[in-house]
Amino acid sequence: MFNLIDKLTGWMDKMTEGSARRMALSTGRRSFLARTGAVIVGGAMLPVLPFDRTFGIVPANAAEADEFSCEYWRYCALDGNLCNSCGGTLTQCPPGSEASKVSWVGTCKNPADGKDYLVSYNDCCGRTECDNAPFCNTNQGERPGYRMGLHNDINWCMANASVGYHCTVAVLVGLAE
Amino acid sequence: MLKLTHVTLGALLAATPAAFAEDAFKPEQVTVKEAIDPGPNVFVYQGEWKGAGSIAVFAQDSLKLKGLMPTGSMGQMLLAPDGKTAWAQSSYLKRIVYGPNEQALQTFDVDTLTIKGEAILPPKAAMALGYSVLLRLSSDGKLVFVQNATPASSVTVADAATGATLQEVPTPGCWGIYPLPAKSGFATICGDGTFSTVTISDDGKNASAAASEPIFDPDADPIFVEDETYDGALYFVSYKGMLYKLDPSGDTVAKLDTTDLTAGVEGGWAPGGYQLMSVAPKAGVLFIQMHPDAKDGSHKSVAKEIWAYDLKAKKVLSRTEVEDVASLVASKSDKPVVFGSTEVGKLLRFETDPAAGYALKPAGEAALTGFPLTLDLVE
Repeated sequence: MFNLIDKLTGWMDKMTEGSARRMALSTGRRSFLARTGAVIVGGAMLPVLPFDRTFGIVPANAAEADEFSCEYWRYCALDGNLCNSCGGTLTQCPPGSEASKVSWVGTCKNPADGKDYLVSYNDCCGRTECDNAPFCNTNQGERPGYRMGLHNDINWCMANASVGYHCTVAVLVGLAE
Repeated sequence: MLKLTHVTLGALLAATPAAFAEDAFKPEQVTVKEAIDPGPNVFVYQGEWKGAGSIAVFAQDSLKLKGLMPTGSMGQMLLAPDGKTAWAQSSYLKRIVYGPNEQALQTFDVDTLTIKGEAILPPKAAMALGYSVLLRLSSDGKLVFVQNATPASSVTVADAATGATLQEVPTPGCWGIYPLPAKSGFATICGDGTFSTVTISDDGKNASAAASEPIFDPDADPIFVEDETYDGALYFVSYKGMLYKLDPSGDTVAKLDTTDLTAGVEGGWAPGGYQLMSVAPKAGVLFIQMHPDAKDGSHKSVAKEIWAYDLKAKKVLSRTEVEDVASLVASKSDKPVVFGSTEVGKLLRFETDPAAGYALKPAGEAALTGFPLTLDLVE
């Protein structure tokens, strides 16, 4: 899991290291963001796994069943307001907002099948912070900014045209090996 | 209702002209207080993610609020060592939550709470929760360092006097700014467990970097980014409570030693919170926020106790139960005062008792707003 994330963030940093000064003079931030966005969005476009991973097993508690509770298993490294309680869903930003182009990643165990999933926590952007919705702050596997892809004390709308933080979704993007 | 009031008032005026003539009403005039009250201050950055944040200035002894300095959203504050100048880095979105974002470095005169200047930063400054290590002053006071994230990491170097950007230093995979003690530049923590030492040229326009040997294991036991300096050494603490003593003065950062803060202590205690530790240098004591039953993901838990740790004797002197402290700062006197903030908007003041191992005693409280996670003080 760390390898995947390191690969993504390392790639970004490597590119910056080699070309930051040149970029400032010639290409500018906008095209850099366009390229960065393409990579991360590409990551987020990995096939989204089916919603129902319970295989008919009856959930026993909030960790398994209640996606409106901070205890829900996919929120193990979440830091933000739940979009599904603000007009969106577990994987959809609320109408009118924009999904963040970059995100941080958690590794959460699904109690229904015992498997560890990579969860992309995308912020939704360009609307007022949705304090109407539950605010969750869990932080399993969370790291400071020196492991940026695992860091959640920062606004992940940072690469969007509108950077106002609205809420956060939790999208399954892979299985942790 | 209005008519009746007017009639009543008119009758009153007609009936008692003599009384009004004798005690002529002198209208007050609104003015602006010129300066804050004198005396040492404690500063709290009240971060906001949906509007204007502020630097709040409180009296250290009474916690009386002396006033606010205004910032944009998702910002950081910085204080000059003499407490007379403050800076803030923050975001100004055209429509507050959408539209183009202008990031500013503001300079404030603390005595009058006025804005001395503002400069526009490259539009990549980190929009983060309050962390003092994301906006720093060089040790000679001439440069301001701004942590950037796009999310690729870099540091904007600005002239402290004018705010003008001098250069952007790429710091790939690294985070946090730790000003070098003897020369212009900073160290930064890197995701592979090393530190990078960035030296800045005299004119502020060039930089060179050198990586240290591995200092910590970011997978097994990562360190918090909060730092403290004592007796020339730079201190960090890990999620599991290892205290790292580092030497930042050489070409690269060197590890001097590590100590387990929780050795022999039952209950699964570990450090936690945001600005989670502070050194009282005359006492040689580190005050650190601790929570019990630590587990993966509990590293931002607010403090249930504050421990006073003797940095020379390497032992815990006292443990004091506290109410959910998220960040703290200690004063520098030989009888330190500790100020803590909570996530629910309280500024707490504690006096300490050197005879009782610097145990804390509640001695004041004030209201905060926003995300009050960064504190600083000048005596």
